[in-house]
Amino acid sequence: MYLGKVIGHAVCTAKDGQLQGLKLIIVTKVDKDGNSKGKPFIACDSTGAGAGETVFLCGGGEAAFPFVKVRPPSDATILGIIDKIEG
Amino acid sequence: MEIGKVVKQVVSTVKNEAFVGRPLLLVQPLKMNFSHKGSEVLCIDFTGANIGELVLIMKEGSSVNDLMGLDEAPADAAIIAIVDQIVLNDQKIFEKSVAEAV
Repeated sequence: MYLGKVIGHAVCTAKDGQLQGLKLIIVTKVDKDGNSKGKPFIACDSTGAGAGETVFLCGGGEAAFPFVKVRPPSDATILGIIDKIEG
Repeated sequence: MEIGKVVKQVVSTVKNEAFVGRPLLLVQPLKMNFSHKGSEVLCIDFTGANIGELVLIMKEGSSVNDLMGLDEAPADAAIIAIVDQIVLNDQKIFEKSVAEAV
């Protein structure tokens, strides 16, 4: 898993059926101090995260698991909203 | 698996239910010369590791699922050990001090 920051969202009408009803969020990775790094990418959301929030995501095949009814073709899914980073 | 140093503790309330009650630590993967290797990895901790400790991390989803005892947990990285000592080419390159362990 890794940390990210929500910077926007995408809306798609024509899409795979398993993506129906899922929110597509634009995210950048962030480092341990919360600074954005790398290029933005699209992730599915399982939490209801909003713009500006720091989140954590899962990559790989496990990114399809958070959803109860569907197994979307996802390689990045938001799993949680970060309250604080300590230490 | 690879070695890494625990750099931060991450607290999250709104999260996937598979993560409830599981500590999340941010780990910087390290090369064997202890320089940084890629970006930080967020890991579920199964060892009770603390910030600053050298740990063993495993980044394989199905093995993390086995550790969690779940079939379909959306997790792909875990801390599976705290490193005491590393010997490379007959040379001890890391020894966790007794003082550090207490």
